[in-house]
Amino acid sequence: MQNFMMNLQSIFPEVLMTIFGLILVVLDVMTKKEKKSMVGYFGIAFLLITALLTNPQVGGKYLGFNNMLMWDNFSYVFFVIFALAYTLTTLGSVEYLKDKGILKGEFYTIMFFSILGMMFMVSAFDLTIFYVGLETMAIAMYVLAGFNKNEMRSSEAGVKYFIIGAFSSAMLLFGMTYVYGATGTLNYLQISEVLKSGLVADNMTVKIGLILMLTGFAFKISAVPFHMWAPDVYQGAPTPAAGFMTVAPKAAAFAALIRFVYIALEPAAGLWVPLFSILAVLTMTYGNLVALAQTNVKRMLAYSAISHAGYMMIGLVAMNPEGYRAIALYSLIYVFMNIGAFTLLGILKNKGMVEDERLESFAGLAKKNPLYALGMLIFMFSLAGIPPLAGFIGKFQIFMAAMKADMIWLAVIGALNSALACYYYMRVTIYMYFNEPEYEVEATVGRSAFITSFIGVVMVLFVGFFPTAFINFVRHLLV
Amino acid sequence: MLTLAHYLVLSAIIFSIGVAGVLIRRNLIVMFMSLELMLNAVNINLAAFSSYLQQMTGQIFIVFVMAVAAAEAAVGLALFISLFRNKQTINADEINTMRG
Repeated sequence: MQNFMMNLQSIFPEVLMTIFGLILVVLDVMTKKEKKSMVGYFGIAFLLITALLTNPQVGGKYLGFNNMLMWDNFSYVFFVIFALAYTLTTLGSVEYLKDKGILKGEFYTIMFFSILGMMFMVSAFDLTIFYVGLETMAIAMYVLAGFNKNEMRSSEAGVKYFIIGAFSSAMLLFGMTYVYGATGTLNYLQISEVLKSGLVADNMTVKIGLILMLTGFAFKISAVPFHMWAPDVYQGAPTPAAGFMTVAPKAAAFAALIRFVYIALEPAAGLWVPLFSILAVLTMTYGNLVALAQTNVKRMLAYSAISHAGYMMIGLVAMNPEGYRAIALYSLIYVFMNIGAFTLLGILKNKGMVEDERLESFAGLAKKNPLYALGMLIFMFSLAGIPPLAGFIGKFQIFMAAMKADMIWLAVIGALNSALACYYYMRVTIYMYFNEPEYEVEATVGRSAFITSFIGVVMVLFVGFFPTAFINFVRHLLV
Repeated sequence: MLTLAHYLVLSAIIFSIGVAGVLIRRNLIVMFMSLELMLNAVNINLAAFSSYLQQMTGQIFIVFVMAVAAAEAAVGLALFISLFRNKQTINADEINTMRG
């Protein structure tokens, strides 16, 4: 009986989310065609209820179903991050979707179910659960990327994401089968025990399996050289969906990776720490260097998302609790600044012959729409990591974790990279404040976009000036 | 007598054919078929290990993999159709509107 209660507590948040998701599907049918954004608002309310009901408190651990599923503070913090990403995306997307004629309830329902998948990914203590969660998230993301069916680019992004995503999942799975074959189990705790016992330490099967698995993971977090899908997908997807996709799935993939490598692969750290250190350096440097050359701001933000994944990987290879706490904090801050930037990007309309998101569209915006320019400036400065904004706090924590792990060289490369990144973020603000407008550009900040960017700006400033509250939020995390 | 190694070699061959198919073929449907081939190689592996280890875990995993593959097929084919409606092609080389 006690066992049953433990099982129930470990899966309670996911059960609640499933029920709420099904209710959302029903609500979608019941709302009028022009009021589909109500579905999204109900989704926000449901997430709030779930967040209030499922807080495990500090130190609470509910491990159920034969050590397959864990609900603890770590799962909860990441759930809050996903919920915030959903909330901001929903609020900011209404005008964009209405404008493109794709304001449908499915957008919000699919996003809601993708969060369910992410929760399973983060809570998983078993590769089966992890795989099912990953695919729930990934399939929802393919649909979101191709959501604007009338537009060539969106379909293209969906197809590309689908092919590469399914390819990387298959790779991950094939690796899992070898790990299963060599260790005889799919459970993280048992894999760790088998690896610790040294029976399979030099086993080629395990090594091949782990390398295939880590390659699959690298695809999911868009680490260089497995990143080639990311720019096209983020550029082609509808802007609010792209904002969501750069934030939530990445945070989920990182959280799942943290669980897997810190618990299951802890004895095999010698194998994956050097691998991921190299990937981190490559990812940061490549993402930043290519972003320098971009003239489309959406594509530039896509490359910046790649480089941010590189910074987060530093926290992963630090191999200490500070590292994953810094990743959680970074993901949280990244939600506010990146979704804010994508929301503002989504409402920009160029009436000339060039694309809406071209750098030239930003020229002279400061005179015409000072509030818009100010918001964009704050997001860009924060993404660049300029103190005292939130992005700086995130980077600082990550580099501190690397210092503590005696990986000073990695922190130095990270700091050099964020100096490099300043150039392309600053370029947007220079266009806004110092260049003369070339095209007729419209940037009407509607009510919902205003609320989202306002929340984003306030949070970016708040985290920057009073970081303690947020550092406390992640301080007690343990995998 | 078939041993574990036979099955592993078979699945490795099928997986390689799948990877090569995704990388070389340019027709999206064929690429998708190659992806399914990769997943089937995974299933063979799981079944072989499951029977070798005398455990049910691997076989349960197969059911999940098959269910997910079916869901993926539904979404993937729908995406191909919406792409085809926009561009009248499912050749991977021709979908290149976005270039940095």
